[in-house]
Amino acid sequence: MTKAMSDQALLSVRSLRKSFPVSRRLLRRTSEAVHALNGVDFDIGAGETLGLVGESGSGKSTVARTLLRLVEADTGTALFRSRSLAAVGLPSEIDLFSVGASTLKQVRRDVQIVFQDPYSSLNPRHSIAANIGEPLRANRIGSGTERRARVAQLLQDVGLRPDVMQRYPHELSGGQRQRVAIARALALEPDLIVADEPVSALDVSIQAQVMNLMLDLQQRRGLAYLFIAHDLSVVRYMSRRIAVMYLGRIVEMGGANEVLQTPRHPYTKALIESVPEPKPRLRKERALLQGDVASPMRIPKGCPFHPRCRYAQNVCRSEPPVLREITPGHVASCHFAEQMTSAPRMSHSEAEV
Amino acid sequence: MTALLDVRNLKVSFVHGKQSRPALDDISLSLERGRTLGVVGESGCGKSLTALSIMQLLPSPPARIDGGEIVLALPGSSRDLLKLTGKQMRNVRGRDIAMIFQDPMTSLDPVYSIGEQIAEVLIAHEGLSRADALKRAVELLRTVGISSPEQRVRQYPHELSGGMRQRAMIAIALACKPAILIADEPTTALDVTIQAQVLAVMRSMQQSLGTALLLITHDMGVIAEMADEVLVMYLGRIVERGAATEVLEQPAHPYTQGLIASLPSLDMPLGERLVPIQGTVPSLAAIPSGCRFHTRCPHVMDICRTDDPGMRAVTSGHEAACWLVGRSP
Amino acid sequence: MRRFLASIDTKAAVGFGLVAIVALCAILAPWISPYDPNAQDLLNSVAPPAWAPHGAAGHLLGTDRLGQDVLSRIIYGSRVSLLAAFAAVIASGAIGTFLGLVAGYFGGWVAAFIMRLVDIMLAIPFILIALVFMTVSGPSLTNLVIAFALARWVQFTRIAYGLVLELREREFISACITSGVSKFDILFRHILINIAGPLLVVATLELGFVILIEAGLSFLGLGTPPEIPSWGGMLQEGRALINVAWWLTTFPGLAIMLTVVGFNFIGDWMRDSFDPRINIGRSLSDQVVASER
Repeated sequence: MTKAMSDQALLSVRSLRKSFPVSRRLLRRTSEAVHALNGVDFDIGAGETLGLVGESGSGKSTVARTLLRLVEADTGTALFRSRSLAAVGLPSEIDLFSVGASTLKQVRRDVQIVFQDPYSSLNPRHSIAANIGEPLRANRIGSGTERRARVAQLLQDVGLRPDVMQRYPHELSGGQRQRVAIARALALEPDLIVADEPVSALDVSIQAQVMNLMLDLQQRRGLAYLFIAHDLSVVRYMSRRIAVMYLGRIVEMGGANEVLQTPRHPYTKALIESVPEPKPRLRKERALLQGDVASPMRIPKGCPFHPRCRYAQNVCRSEPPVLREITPGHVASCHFAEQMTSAPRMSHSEAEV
Repeated sequence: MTALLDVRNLKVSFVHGKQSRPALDDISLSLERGRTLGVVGESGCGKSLTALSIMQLLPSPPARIDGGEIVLALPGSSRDLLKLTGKQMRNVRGRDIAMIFQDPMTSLDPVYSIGEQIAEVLIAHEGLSRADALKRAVELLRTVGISSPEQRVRQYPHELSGGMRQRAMIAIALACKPAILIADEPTTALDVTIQAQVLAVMRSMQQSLGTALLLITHDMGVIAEMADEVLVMYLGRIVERGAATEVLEQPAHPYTQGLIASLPSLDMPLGERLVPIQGTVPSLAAIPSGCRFHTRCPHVMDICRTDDPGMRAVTSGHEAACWLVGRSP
Repeated sequence: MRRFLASIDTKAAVGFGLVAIVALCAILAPWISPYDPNAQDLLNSVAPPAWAPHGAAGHLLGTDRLGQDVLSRIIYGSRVSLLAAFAAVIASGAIGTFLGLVAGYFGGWVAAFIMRLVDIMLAIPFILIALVFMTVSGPSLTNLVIAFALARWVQFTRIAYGLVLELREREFISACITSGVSKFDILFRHILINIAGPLLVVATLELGFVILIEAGLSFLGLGTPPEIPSWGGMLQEGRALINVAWWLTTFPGLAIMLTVVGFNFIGDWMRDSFDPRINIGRSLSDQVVASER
């Protein structure tokens, strides 16, 4: 525990890096790797939601997996305030990435995950009751009857009838399954839920239901969320603060409204402009982003976004920008962040660079 | 403007042994040159089935066409596609009507280069030689915005990114300059920045070739960007149709209203809650009586439970299947 | 469950019927067998079936060299076949599934080692292994089961390994890890139950295979001792007289064939039931929704 956590933060991630080696060719000197995360820093306060948005290759899912220790980070720290450890008298500010197996088992109660695909996140051969009750069983919480009662309560909390308990996943719709997945995540009473694209696979009308459910649960239980999605409107609905990721780095972070009204990074601006809005009279003027998403195997030198950036200058090609504060609480990593002007969604006024 | 494609009263059901379920009930739509018709709805509403029916690509069994006509009216000929033989329909596909699908990884053949796949269409329908077809393929790749097309034409699908593959699909589809293009969720699997690019390509190709576009999607935003007219489908029926701007800004059917109200937007006030549609889509095995949507409708009245409203006019060119439409206030 | 029952077609029903008959023979042998299978009646030896010309009354399928009733020996022979089959498949299945689970889940050199072992065993024809083993350790049912366990486990490991590799990446397994479920529980509570289906298919097909092998080994004199009636042994005994006493080989042969066919039909039905892409038993509404995705 070298660094003290800020008083508010539940989770404090610093310098998170992760690369996945790709199989090495015999005659190559260096092996290739997918550089999924290249130095990610963020904080989440108790009871608040940080929205993490990015496209494929941004690394957002890898952030989720490293936090849950499904994948081991290469370097970095994730200081976390664990209620479960405090409850048994152990030191409660720990680094999620470096705790040992037995501590990890305790801490796992405080951080849970909800996945994207409601079809594969439940065990198809176990009943709903068994699926939801499994965390309780694995941690030896309660007797069989107590667990059943708890499962019934959890089902009600997520808006399902308790008699769903004896059904099997294939009998439920996608939206219902996702509610079950949320119920399972709540079973151990965590303080932080990492939600990795929890509504992307659902129909539009069900998305709204599940998002509202998550907001209600947050209010009732004081849950914090790391809400990961590729849909900017969804992230804005759910989060008070947003972080935008590109090629394994956070390129902009700040209050949701502020980031979206006055984006300070060209990528954020492009994302906002790309979202098709169902209000046809506001058909936007916009300059489309050229080129494809760069591959995390070959990250461009300098600013990783420069090949697609319409404002790129020489400095962008050689010097990687640093994530720095532009206005209070709003950080961005662009050499020209101060000059980004607002209102991208009306006819553009480009930054003069 | 006369319709290029006229679907009239199409009925499709799924059969298994003795049982059958109606999957599409009385679907009528028409496509006009240079215009885009959007079809929007959620899973199970029948929008993909409609597209597959037009292309005669329904898996049958278990699907079975129970009635209706699909009239393709090109200069010089007018035919009911449902009455064509397999061979005749194969001539239509690719040349008069082309289709692109959601997942470009599985709709492209992984063992042939994209150049060869484009050439295949040209050789089959226009009788080009292989060399000429490959040259045209390079040009087509250029028109859809793929850089360095001379190199790309020899690449295989797995060497291309998702956005490029979808552009390649568009190139294949438009190679023979078909009159009609059907796009089934063409950008759903793509990142939003790439989606914007691909939609732009589709729009510009449409403008230069005058293709009629049938665009199927669940994304209202895509409809707003691309469609001139829109159909809203629910449980195998069309529940609202009209000009895209009008339907999206003044939706008349409670389902359409509910869909739009379920969408978070970047402009909505922070802290305001979405109002989702109650309940879930009923199974086709248990289609509600009367108006199919009544079980989830916030404005349900007694008559809705028993009597099925037909399409009722909201304004000229805009209709919705709801008893509330056309009522005096 | 209801969906499974609904999906039983004629072929599967035939399979179940055949296996049921064999099972009943094995269970009820003492009550339904007309004679003691070892009761000799030397006056009536090599007698044709009762319904054939010159047939011996009272012997529905004829008698063998020692006057033993063929029908009774077939009924009792079912015991040997089924016992051998189930014991062998349970033994090889348990070993093979366990190794497949371990290889699939843990990977690394453990998996490499196990899978190389699989490759080696697959390269050697089983009948050769069985022959050598039975010759060396002596013919008996127990040794047959051991030979099977030692060699046929690979069939299960191969399938299990691939299934576990795929299943391991599924999100519900990740959910187990993040909930604190132990590795042991993940393997045996979560993964095993999900791969049981295809493995059961392998098991039913192996059942048929054991019966054939047992018959073959008994035919070669390396199976069960002659006092115990077995179908393969009956084939062996009848071979010499095949020109004059067709019933001595035909009926045991039929019994083997029908039993193996029965297991295979059941195996096919199980395989189709477990394949989610085939629409057997799936409700129509599901099919419609599935076509929209």
